[in-house]
Amino acid sequence: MASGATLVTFHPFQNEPPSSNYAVVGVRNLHPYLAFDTTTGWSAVFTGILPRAYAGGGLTVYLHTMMASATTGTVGYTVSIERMDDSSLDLDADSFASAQTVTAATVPGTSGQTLLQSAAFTSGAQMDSLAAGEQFRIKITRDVANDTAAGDAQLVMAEVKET
Amino acid sequence: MASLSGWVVVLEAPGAGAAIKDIRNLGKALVDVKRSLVLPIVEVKPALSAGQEYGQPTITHDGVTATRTWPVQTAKVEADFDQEALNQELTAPGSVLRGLALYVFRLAKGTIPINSSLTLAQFTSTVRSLMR
Repeated sequence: MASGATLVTFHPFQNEPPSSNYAVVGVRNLHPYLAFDTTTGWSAVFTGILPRAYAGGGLTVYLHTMMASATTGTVGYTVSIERMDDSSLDLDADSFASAQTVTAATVPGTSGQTLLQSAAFTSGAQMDSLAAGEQFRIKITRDVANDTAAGDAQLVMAEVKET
Repeated sequence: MASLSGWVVVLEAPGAGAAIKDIRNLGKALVDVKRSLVLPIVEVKPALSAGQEYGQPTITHDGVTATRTWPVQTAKVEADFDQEALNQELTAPGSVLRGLALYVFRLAKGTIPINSSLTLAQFTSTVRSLMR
């Protein structure tokens, strides 16, 4: 698969919420979303398989989000990847690699408009050395310590692309 | 980066006079927070003696730390019967309980004299008459 190709997409209903501080599912004009609080770092977790056609490059994770009501300020996230390699990782414990930052960006002037942001992972440790055909999880957390927008941020879709 | 765990207070706005929006348990692991809006809770929970329990706590904050104070009060003993059902039984015509309750009440008021030679048959007859 060529660089720049979409590898996986994640929908809010695919969320596997952590046991606490989890993003909450909601619907806005029939668009499902996952709401991330502005004060405490709520997370969403998705499981996927990196396609066999993955060519070994880095990954870029794109987040399509809206703000519940805010039209000023910034919103940011952190994203981390966990490789679930066969006959190796014990799934009884989390094993996410260090989180990469989706830099806080100014929110749209209309709360229903979506904002597209991304975080890049270099091939190797940043993406937990994930390889083609392997299971993985991706954890998305609102970067509340570094963003300024009030109210919930709403994740509509996430995309993993080969950089 | 600010991280907290355990119970926290979420404020509507930063500062000492701000209203409390929410009280949350973040769990054992550290979670990133907006430190100006999220305050750790310090518990003030005196030790309990026998027959005491905690009442409804009150929470105050100074914009930096929140304090949750648990008042100590005398433990309430929960009734092991349904009070509403008992009230209905006591007032229902034909109820034995109603008859007995009225008997005891009239005995206490002196309307029914204390009679050491009262027979079971006489007592039953009186209670039955009060059941109506």
